[in-house]
Amino acid sequence: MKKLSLLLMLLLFGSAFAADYDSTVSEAANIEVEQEQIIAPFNQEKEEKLLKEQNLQEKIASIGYKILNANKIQKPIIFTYTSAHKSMLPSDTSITKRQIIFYDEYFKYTASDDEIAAYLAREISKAVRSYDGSWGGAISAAQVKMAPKKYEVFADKRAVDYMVYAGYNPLGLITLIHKAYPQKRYDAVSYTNLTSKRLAIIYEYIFKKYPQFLINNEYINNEVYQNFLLTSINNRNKLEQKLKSGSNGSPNYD
Amino acid sequence: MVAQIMIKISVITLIVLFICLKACAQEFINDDFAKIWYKDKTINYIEPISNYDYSSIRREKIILTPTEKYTTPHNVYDGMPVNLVVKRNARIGRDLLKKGTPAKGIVELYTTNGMTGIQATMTIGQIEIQGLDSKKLGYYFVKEGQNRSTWILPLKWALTFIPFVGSLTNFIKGGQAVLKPGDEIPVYYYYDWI
Repeated sequence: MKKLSLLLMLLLFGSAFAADYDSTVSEAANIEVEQEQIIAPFNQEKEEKLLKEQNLQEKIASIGYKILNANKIQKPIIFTYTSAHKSMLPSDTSITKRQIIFYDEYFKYTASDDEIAAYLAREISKAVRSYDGSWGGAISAAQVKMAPKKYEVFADKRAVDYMVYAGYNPLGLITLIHKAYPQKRYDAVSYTNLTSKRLAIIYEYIFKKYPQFLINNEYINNEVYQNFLLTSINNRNKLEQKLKSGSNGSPNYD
Repeated sequence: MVAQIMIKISVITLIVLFICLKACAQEFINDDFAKIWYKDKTINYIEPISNYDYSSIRREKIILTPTEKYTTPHNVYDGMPVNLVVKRNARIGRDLLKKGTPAKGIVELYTTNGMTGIQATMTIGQIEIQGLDSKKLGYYFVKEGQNRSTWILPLKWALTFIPFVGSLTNFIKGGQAVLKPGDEIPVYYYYDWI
């Protein structure tokens, strides 16, 4: 009888323990499932973000290398897309590391491939310049930093050349600068030129070297381009007068 | 009578509407100066380069030299034609590219000299050599003036200890770029480039 009661007790404890164990295991499994359910959207989000960044990186690199190839530029330059904020990374790596960084925020101002190409072409011109001269181009790179106004115009003009050879419309450079660079009050004591002056110089450069883009103007219905035309009437008058006078000098653009 | 008045009113309305539309259309700014300016002039259309294959390394070096002197900033401007000739005989496959064969290029871009010893530069581009396909030419030529930054920068830093003296070196300008007969412009002819 005693034996029978002991056996019954053991069976009872055993079943209670087994039930407790089962519930612990199932609880753990439930927690795991819950955790997966919580983490899954984050992973998916991360994956989607990475895929998006990969696509953008590919787009930037493809436009960049197209410009390099079409212009037969035999200098290694790399293109990097980043979602980091501009202030978080060192500026002007174009001349220090020959690495052109395209920040996420630039997409706000680039409505077409022409405008992305415009930004990249400007940076390429500075990167190419940083290969020239002695000390592995260190002096040239220093000069770009020392005379930013001069090399700003240089980069703008060279960007037009690069864009034309790569099959992009250089008027995209005008619309990009018109949208993205605010107009300052004056530029006499400044590191940069007045935006209106830069635009006038670029317009003149396109007018003289690649007039086909102005004759068959694809940007004439573009609102930004129209606004550029509206705000550049004085400067375009100056260009007209200069051309009619046959002068090769630079007009005093506003 | 009423019908005639209605017709007159509708005609007047249409005329007014037409005038308004024309006025609105005129507000749209035209960019026709280029069309007018180049109406009777020939334009050198630049074809974009979309087909390329840079796998081959077979190439020949050709040395070009200008036939006249070009000096910044006086007789140089962006897009200015530059007359060139082949300086030395070069063999392109079985053919001989003789010394003196005419070639031409343009000043693609020039920069003026500046403070802190920054030199003027002339970038020569769009080179064409008589008898050769210009798409097969590879070059990068920038004629630079005397780069005085190489000694101005160390001097400037050395003089920084004496107040204001270091900054005086900023006023030293770089040299002008001079492209003269005898200067060598190396150009490579790549046999297999397309």
